Amino acid sequence: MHTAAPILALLVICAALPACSTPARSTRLTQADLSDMATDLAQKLRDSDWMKARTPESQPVVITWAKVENLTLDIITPGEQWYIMQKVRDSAGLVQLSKDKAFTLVIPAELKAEGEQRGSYEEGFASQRTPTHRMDATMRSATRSAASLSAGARTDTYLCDFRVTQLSDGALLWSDSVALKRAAAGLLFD
Amino acid sequence: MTKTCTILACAGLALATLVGAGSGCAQQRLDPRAVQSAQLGRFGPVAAKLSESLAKDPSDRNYLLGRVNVLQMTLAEGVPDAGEETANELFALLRTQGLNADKTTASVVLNEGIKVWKGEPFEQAMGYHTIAVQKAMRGEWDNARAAAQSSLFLLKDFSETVGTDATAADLAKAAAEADQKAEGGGEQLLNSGYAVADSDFALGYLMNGIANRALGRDDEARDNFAAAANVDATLTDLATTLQSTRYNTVLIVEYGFGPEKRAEGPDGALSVWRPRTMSTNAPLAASLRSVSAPETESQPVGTFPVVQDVNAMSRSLRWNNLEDVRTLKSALGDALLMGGVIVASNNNSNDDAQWIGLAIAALGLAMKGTAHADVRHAELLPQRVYVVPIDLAPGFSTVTLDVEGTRVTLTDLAPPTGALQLRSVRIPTSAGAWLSMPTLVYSNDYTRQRIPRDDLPYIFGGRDVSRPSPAVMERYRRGGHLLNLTQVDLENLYREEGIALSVEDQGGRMRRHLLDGGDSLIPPLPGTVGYQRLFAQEHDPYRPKSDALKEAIAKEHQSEQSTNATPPE
Repeated sequence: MHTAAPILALLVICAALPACSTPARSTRLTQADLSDMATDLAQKLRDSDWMKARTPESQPVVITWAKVENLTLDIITPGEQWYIMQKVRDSAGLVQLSKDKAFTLVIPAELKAEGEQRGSYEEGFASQRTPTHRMDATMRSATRSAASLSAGARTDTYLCDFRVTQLSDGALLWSDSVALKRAAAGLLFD
Repeated sequence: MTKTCTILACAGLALATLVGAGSGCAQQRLDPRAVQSAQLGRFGPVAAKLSESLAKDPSDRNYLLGRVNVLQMTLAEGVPDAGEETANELFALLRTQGLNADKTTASVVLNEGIKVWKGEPFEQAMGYHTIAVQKAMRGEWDNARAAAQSSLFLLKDFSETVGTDATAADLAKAAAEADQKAEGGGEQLLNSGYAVADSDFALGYLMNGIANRALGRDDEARDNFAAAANVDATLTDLATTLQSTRYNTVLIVEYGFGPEKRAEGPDGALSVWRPRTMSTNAPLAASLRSVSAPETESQPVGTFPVVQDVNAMSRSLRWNNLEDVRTLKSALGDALLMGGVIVASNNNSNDDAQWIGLAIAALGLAMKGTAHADVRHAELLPQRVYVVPIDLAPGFSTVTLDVEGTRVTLTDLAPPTGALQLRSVRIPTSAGAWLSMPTLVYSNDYTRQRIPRDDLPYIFGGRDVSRPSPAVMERYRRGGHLLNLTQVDLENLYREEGIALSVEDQGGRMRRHLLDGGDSLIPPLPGTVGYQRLFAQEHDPYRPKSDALKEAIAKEHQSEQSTNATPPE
């Protein structure tokens, strides 16, 4: 009896709290989703055969990156698109690995141009950048809605496809992906 | 069906006389001065003013409505960067499901505790479209695609139940009759008597197609252009043009004001959409000339059909919420109960007047003293939208648009650095002569041709409202001005005056431009009406506020006088 009462009270409180009782209302990606996806991709990049095969004696390469291309039904701001790539770069420890793996990271052309337009970079900044490889990614999604609009359920599956491409011939050197699913309840119109 | 329509129409008319159309609810509506200013084309000041009172709490009833209005006006002014925060917040809320977790509802009686305004389905579609335009104007074609595709949500199609051209009144009558046959029959009809239908939002398909074309996704672009032509056969030529021809600029041209939602019936219990700008099929004519060519050498680009009529959307059953239908059904149910006797006794006399009286009485009985329809709506939506693809030649061009006797001149348009650029052009209904002026009187970040006195900043008494940059400072110096000021010095003077030089300085929102008496130096994009209004007409001279600027102006005058007094060698 003594132990049942607190459990019952906890259940009542839990049922009353929105966090416990309210289902998700949006299938949009959260900042945590983007961060988790980037972390997973970074781990895959670190563990990839392409990365493992590289040594200090490997042919030196110059890597740049582009922001994520968003082909989902969600808005992913340019800041978030850059964030994902930079999170992969940092979580994989690419800067620290660069000497051991014989590669150099150089600023993306788009960021260089934006910085020059803002006046953040002086004329001629990074003029010697000659990337040989590029990291980029595409985010896609598939949406499933309940057959009845009244049921109001929706599920979005997001897939982030990450690539390392050799610029000289477009050869795909490494590719992997991570996926996550988000579901929400409630009428879309509402 | 016809009889019910007649009854409702007459009842609406009679009730408008009895209680006054749109009575009450004034507190829910936009300040009329905002609409008047928008009619004059003063979109920027309207956006800035409305931005000041944006609700910060997403659970605030007006959180979403305020953002729809602000974003509409911000894009009409031509400053998409200042709409970024607003658009993202709007998208987040539109994508949140089940906010009003009862029925499919946008407009409900106030005393039922609605939490958030989310708009009618057609207002939501237009909201997504507006976000797509904002993203496209910023060159974010992937996000424009996401927003455009989101505007194409599935709709409820009751045509098999109540007929293809059925109105909300027809559906309400069918539901009321179903209630009479079996308890709960009406609710069952509304909840399951529809087929899930693909959207018929032609504008959404075209925007989605354009965004996909910009991304190089030609197959998806083709599907969307075909879908638009399938929805509306008058768009076939436009869809073919968008699919097959070469263009580097798309103008999304908006005209007039969308319908307004009025409270009608006893105590204003029923909400009804009424047009403000009448629907017509008037095409838009576009022409183009290079800035170096004489005015007489304009080349016709073509004529373009109306892509989307918002009045028509507001009339369409599939684009409206069902809460209004439920309210009407309830009242009609009472009328049918009483009317059954009348119909039986008047089968030969066909006395509509008695029906009308009964409908009014029933409505009054059902609504009296309990509720007032929520007539909040997106008051700044356009009545119609055109889509105009143009291929700009290198250099600067002037585009002229003509619709319903109004001429708009868009100066300083240059080809994009990428594959495609998009501009929102909101045609004001009562603008001044500036709307068709082919020349500018103020220089700015985008002008390249010389304008008299463009070698001195506006705050110093000149005609330049460019943000400081090395090129701008060099122009001042070549004109013999600001010889003792660095770019940083000038930026500091702007800051002393409280003038924002970036959207970040403005807290990510819209603020009034300096030429409007405001404190922002963010220029609208060329090819927008805001650009014309600000830079193609005279404004009052600037009045310095800070001692630092007053001192700098005095020094500048001294420097000019000493230069003028120096005899030539």
